[in-house]
Amino acid sequence: MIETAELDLIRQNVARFGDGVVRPSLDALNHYPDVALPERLFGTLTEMGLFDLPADGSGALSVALETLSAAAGAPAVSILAHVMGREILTASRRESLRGVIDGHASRPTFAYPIYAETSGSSGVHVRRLGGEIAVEGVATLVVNAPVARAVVVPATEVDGAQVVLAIETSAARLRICEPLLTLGMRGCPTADVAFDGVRVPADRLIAGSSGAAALIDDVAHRLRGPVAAICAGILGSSLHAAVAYAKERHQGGRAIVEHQEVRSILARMIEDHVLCRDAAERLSRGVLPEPDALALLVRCKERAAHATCDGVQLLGGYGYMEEYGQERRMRDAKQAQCLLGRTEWLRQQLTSAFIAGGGRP
Amino acid sequence: MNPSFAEMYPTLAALGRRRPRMLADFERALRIARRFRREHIEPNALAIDRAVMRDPTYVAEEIIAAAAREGLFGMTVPKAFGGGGMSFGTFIVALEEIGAGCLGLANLIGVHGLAIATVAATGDVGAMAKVSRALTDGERAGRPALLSTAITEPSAGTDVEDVDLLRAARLTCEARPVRGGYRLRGSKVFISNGSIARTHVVIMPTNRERPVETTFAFLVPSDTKGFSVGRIEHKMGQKACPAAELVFDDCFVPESARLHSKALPGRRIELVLGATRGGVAAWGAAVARGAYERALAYAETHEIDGARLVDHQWVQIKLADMARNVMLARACYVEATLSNELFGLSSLVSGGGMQDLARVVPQRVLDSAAVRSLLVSRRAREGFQASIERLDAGQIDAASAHGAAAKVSATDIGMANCHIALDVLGADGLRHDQGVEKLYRDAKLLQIYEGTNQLNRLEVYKRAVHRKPERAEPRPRLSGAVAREREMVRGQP
Repeated sequence: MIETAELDLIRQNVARFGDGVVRPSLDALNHYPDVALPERLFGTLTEMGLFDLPADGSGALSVALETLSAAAGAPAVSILAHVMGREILTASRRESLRGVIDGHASRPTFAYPIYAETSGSSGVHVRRLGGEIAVEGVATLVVNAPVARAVVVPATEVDGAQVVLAIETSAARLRICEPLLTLGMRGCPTADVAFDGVRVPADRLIAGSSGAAALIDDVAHRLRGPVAAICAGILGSSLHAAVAYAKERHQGGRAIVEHQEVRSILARMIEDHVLCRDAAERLSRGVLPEPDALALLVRCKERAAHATCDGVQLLGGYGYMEEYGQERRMRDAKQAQCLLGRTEWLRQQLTSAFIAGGGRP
Repeated sequence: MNPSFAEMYPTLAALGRRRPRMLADFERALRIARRFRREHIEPNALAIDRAVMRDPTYVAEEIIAAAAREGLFGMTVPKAFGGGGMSFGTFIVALEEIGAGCLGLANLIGVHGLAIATVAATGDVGAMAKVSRALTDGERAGRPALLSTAITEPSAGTDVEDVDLLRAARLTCEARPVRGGYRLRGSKVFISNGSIARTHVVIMPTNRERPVETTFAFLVPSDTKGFSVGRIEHKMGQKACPAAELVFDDCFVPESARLHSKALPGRRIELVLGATRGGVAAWGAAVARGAYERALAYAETHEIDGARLVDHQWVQIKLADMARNVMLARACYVEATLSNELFGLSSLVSGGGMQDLARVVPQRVLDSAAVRSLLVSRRAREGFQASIERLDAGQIDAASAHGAAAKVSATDIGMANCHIALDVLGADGLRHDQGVEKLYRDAKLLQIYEGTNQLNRLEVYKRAVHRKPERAEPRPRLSGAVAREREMVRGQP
């Protein structure tokens, strides 16, 4: 168990990294994929060990991602997708592929479609051919795909059963498509991955129909806290910028922070930020009943997306311009709302979990 | 995806039965805009958005030329000034159609409405004729003389749009009177079309200590010495319409550059915003519709949990919410537009009398030297300005309240539909190539420009909830053709 002092140390180190490395790289991040990724940023993330933080109940990953997201959400999502792939591989106990990948120091090592729902078709299909498997289809919006060494991706067998694959990005007939331009989280390298009849050893199928869904769900549950932390980090940064502007900007002869409507908007942002931080902390401990966890996750993601729109509104025309950062936070928060699946799909899962649990609050 | 005119505008269709010519104008505007959207906007909007991301100075020249060929820039200019003669009220359906394809391009085309409305609100008919002729002559040559309206200052945005706030605004711009003219100093920011316009309608006080009493409009050609385009903004969305800083460095303009009118704050600004906020509301409906159309198309062709999205009840409810949102937003802006046609600036510029006259008088007569000199005469100007003064304050309030209420309601609805669409599309909605994330970026600006939605709420309070005692109830002045038109619209015999 990590002590509070250690979490504080992580927070301080990441904050220093955010100020010293991430913020000066924001322009490059924001214009990816039209400009190259800032290599120093990802190199330093690797050196700091942020890709290797544990996804356990210690809260270390959540603290790091919340602090990092206050500077920029994109690298936080890169870490999140890497951890998702890593944890799935670790939980699967298939050592063969791990050995191949662990020999490389560069991070992120794993790519994962972190915005997709955790069940259902991923667009990738598998056929078993003796000691090999054949893989067809396209996995969309795979985070880290342009830079990772392996893709971890859910797929479906001929009979419709869900499985999980882990395949090196160097595999023959596996094609990483052009890096995608997305709404937010620009600078988090993301691409579609096409499997044009990829043939790989059967051990690349790291979870079969009996355990794939449970495996993905188990890891996804552990990453809900970090997702909430990313929302909290982005929203906290938007709130900070909004307050600073409201104290500086004058309208009608007085600072706009003195206008009641502005104070009301700020109050709602504060409420939402408290909710997100609370959700991140409680979810990171990992001891909540499933309905409670899903409810917190859904609410946190949704509120961050809406509150960061208010963050833009408070700055008026300036909020809409790239150089003030609010528009990036608004886009990032909206994109974060899709992490681990779209809101309404999660709501359907929430009701199922609530009823399965006896339907008692 | 292409409902009939009557399905989209049942109120207008009903009105059209009483006044078929008005309906014909609405339908013509929709027909032109729909073709323009299909042929020019849909195939190019995403590529233009991406091009501007790479190079903020990129301008979609080919789209501007195509819009000029369609006559879109001059469509609301009175026929007597060489334009299409369509009222702003009828052109508004074109704004929705074009905006549903791309808000940035709609803004590039529609921002002229703000410039023309500002000139019109001064009552300076001669200036109106001058900018209109330049616009429409250029349009016919495929190179329209684009206009911009420069209002916002670095330290004063909302302040300059509200007479009560203006008194305490931190203004930095000033048009200082000098021998033979004025010297303009300061900078204006976030000016739509600022970097591509040939003429700028610049709003500045001649004494910034007394802005309410001394703020006027100046026509400043972009080749004027001392004028320059500063920073071109890197906006989140609406990228097809460039926004720029305009710098006035001791920029001399002659006396004739100042439009003849009383100071703008108050009645004249109210008239402008009462008219143009309905247009922004139309863009709210437009983006709501664009989001709805794309979500529906996606839901019909994609699956989740083994079934088409559109077959899931939660998706059906979302789509129904989006569809009713479009209807609500459309109702808002149509109401605001008709209010403006009845009570606001449009009742003067394109009201029944002038419109009817333009219809019956042959174009060659309107283009004749005699008519031209009559239109720019002092007598015409004073007559028009007198009609502005005669407008009832209560009527202006009604138009302002409807415009502000529609702007807030429709643009909030536009954002709401973008949120819903992104939720329906899930991860795919995040991709630039799907187009929905662009709508989301574009939509946000609607809640900010033409007065933030917070300011517009207060405007509704001032104009509709807590009206000043000196402002009377709306009482249409009934005389002649305008009166007959108003009575028909009001459903009176």
